[in-house]
Amino acid sequence: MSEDHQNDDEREAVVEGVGKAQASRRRFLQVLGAATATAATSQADAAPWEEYFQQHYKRLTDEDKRAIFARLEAEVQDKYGVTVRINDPKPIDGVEFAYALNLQACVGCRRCEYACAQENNTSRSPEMHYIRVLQMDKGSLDVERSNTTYEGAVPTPEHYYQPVQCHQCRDAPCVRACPVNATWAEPDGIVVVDYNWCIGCRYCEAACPYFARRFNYEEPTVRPSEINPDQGYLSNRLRPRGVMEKCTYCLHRTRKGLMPACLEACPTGSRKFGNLLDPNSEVRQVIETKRVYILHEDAGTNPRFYYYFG
Amino acid sequence: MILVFVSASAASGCHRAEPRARRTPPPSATVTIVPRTPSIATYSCMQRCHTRLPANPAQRELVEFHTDKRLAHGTTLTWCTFCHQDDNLDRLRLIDGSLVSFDDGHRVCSQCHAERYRDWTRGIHGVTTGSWRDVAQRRSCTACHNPHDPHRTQFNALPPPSRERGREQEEHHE
Repeated sequence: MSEDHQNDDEREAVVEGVGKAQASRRRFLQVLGAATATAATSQADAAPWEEYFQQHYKRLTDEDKRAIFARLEAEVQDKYGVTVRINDPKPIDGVEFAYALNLQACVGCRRCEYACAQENNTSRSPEMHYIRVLQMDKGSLDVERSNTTYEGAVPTPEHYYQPVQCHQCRDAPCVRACPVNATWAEPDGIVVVDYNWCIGCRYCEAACPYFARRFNYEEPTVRPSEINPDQGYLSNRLRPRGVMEKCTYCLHRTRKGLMPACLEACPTGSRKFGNLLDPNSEVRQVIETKRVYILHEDAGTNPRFYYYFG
Repeated sequence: MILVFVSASAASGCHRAEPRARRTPPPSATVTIVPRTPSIATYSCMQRCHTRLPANPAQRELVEFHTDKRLAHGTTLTWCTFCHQDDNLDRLRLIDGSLVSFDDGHRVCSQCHAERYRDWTRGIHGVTTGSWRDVAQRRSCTACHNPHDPHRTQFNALPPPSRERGREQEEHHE
């Protein structure tokens, strides 16, 4: 058995252990509630309890999921007065998603950032963007000296632009860092977060060499009129305070065959997305015919995100 | 301790070499090229003006019509008729004299920009949106590049998120 598999098994064991502990705690509390007759019994008070005792995503049955999605949809309806549909598209067999980004074409206009925020229901105040565009000095690959707060006309003659978002690594440091297995890589390569299992310790944020993970320090705010009602359970559903979130290659779109929102918004065509296992896909064509550059290759993360020239 | 390290690295190396069992990938998207003619405001040239007003092929300064067009495409493209057919202005002409529609304008570009054109046909250069699996829409060259003056123009970036603006200060405090 390989090292990776061993780690997976250990993590599974941890999750199992936590699950058992929760199960027994649940029984204990149920008994306690019945005995003292003080436990909340009304429908309104049941939701926080159900949420608190909700299982890890990987152990949810289809029935559990239906109940959870209905509960979450009702919560959004109550809080925002918006009807949303939470779905959970599955990874597609024979598909491993990858991204390629043309550094020569990108002009740094940040259209991708805002399209991402709109698609993924990220907090507008405090403002959270999954994508960070680095303004880099021409002739340099030093991200430490890049500028992320540039404004005004782009592209300038002295700079090139490098958008950075989650690289969906094959050896993801964030996944290894998570003490509760709330984040993992799906079979199609997308690293996801179970927002209900995340304890908000931010170890993953510290582990990520791309600074691609975001933490909800405050209650995220999105105007009801701006909520995207097409929501994936593992991607763009509304998050609570105190959990991590990140780019998921718009899995609620891409697993249905669509392109990610950032790609659709790019006016320059710098962004290429597709199935790495398909020799005819755009990303494979890029990798096979262009000069490809991997950000922080030395970190050994083996990402599914490639920068290319030309 | 060393032994453990060696065996662990050997194991992980072995793991990486192992091909993972997967089913064949779904076929890639069928690419359709977005036609250009609907987005050309003055199309059709022949119906609008040029049946009544035959084109004057003489090279001169334009003072009455098409004054907004500045021709600054390399040093060899010096006049309209290099790409436009003068007796049928709804068509573009290739170097061999054959006529193509504005929707096939990329064929005109490909005559010089062969490498870019090859990249474009592979989806490496240019804008392709829609679906990575079903039907994708690909923009033609002139959807992005002004063929008369193809130099890239500047435009304003959207503002950085407030969080990013605060980050430098945050780091300073930490």
